Amino acid sequence: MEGKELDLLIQKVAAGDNAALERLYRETARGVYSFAYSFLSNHQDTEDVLQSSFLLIKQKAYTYRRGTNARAWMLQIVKNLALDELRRRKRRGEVELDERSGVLSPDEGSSALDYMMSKLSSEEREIVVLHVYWGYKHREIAGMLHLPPGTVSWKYSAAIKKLEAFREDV
Amino acid sequence: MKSTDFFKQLNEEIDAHVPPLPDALKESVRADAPVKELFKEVPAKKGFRRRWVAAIGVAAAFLLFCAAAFGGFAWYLNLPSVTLMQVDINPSLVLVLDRDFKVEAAVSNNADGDLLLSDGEFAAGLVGLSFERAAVQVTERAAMSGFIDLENEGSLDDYNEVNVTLTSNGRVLPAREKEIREELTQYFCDQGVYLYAEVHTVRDHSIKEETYKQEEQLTYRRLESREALEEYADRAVYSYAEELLLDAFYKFDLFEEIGALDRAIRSHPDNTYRRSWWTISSGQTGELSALCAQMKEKLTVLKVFYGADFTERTTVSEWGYMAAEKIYRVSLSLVDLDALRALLREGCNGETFGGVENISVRLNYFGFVSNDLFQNVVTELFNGQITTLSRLVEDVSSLLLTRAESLYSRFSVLYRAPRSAIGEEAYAAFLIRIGK
Repeated sequence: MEGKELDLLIQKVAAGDNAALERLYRETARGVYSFAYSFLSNHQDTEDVLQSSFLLIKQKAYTYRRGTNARAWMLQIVKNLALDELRRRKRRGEVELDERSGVLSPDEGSSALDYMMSKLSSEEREIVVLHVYWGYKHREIAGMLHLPPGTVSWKYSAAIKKLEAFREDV
Repeated sequence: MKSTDFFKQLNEEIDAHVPPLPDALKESVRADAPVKELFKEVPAKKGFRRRWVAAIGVAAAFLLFCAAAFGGFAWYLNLPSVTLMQVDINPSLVLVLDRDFKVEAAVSNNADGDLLLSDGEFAAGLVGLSFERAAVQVTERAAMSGFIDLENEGSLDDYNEVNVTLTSNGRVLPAREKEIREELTQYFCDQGVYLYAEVHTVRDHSIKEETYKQEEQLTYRRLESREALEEYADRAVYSYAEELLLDAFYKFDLFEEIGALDRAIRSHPDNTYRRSWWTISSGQTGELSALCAQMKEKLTVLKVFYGADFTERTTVSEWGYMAAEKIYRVSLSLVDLDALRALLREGCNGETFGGVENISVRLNYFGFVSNDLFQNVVTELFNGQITTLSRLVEDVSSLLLTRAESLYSRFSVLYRAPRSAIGEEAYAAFLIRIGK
């Protein structure tokens, strides 16, 4: 979805337009879900974060400043909530994080989502999700993740190569 | 399998988990929205006008009653109309809080604060956060930019401290102090970083919201006079040059340490075939195992700081390291390291580093530092910006941004490295060590 369209939808949500909220949900829920899942690696918690994110987006839409970066504003909300959930889990001692590589280790299975989680590093996942689901250009992702643009392009191609091996591996 | 097929399956899986928009979400009231916005889009139906007028009348009366009641109640409780939360680490920021103690704006108080807020995305992310979360985020950002020593376990004279002061024109409950202190302590214990949080509340009737809130919702202090700007630019450039030099020595020492460890591993009596870390079997014990662990640690640092990954235990990886080390050494063959160590001791300033008379010093410096990640910036310094202050003054904001980015990219990696959480007993021992 184009940034301008997203901008307009959030303004409408701020004005209490439920149809706009439904459209925003329809257009971005997949992106929100994949972005949150890339942190949490768990469907139950991701669904909770998805709902909390849209609740917060609705409640805070009036604080969004028109013409600024709507995608970044939404992603910041989702990221904060996902990190809060991770911290809660960490306090409960539930985080399964391979400390060396940052690769989460979910249950092995034939699911594409789990495959992506187990084969890509956290940075590669973030790059793939931001590019595929949020339409960010490599140059923009480079700015967001404080990486050189060439590194982002390289990591993206490497990640896609790994994902292409999906059927052979499972 | 094509990547498009992969994403097709991925989409199907995600769609299976994404529930439809819950009705409860559609009905939820935007509790924080200004009252006028809640009423803005409500359509008035024809034929019900009279009933609406009556309803609006009742609502208005109710709102008036609430406003009066709240005003009286607020006066009774002496609730603040403005609260400022100052967070001092070395960067100093003032966060303007609303009545619900959520952040409305962030203002920098010093040059290091400018550094933190130069990342617009970070600054914008603070707005709307609760005060205790904002205190954590600012402190974490400072840690990620190198302002907190992650390895410092604390002693009487040297420990990590964050000072938070809540200044308000009304009454701030003491519980707020406790909330901030506990949130900061708990959070950084979880991160494995020893940090002491000092929190105070101050009542000041003279403070006004307008002092800090300007036209832009988010702003940071700007250096006003040209003299102040020049002085700042001068200091910033020299201290930046010094940071680069320090970092280059860090890299140099890292190669030295890896070389020493390699020699120690190869010559260890338990290492019968004189193998290197890359080729020795991983089931070593005792001293040799400890040396191998240190080697792994150093190579990981090389990887995260300098992007050179030789952590795989293979012959190819070993050859790669040897080649990289050789190239690095050759590039330093003309560098006078003693002179650069002396420069680091004396510090970079106009006398030791600036002007035409120090061209040879800067040539030597460039030869050493340009091996580093910050090559672009060093090239700019070398190209004469360091001697043309007026140009630097014009460029000071971009310099600030570059410096912020380079600090963040380096120290955030270190901050994210895994550390063991600090337990209650260990934290209590830390408090005793620092005399609290």
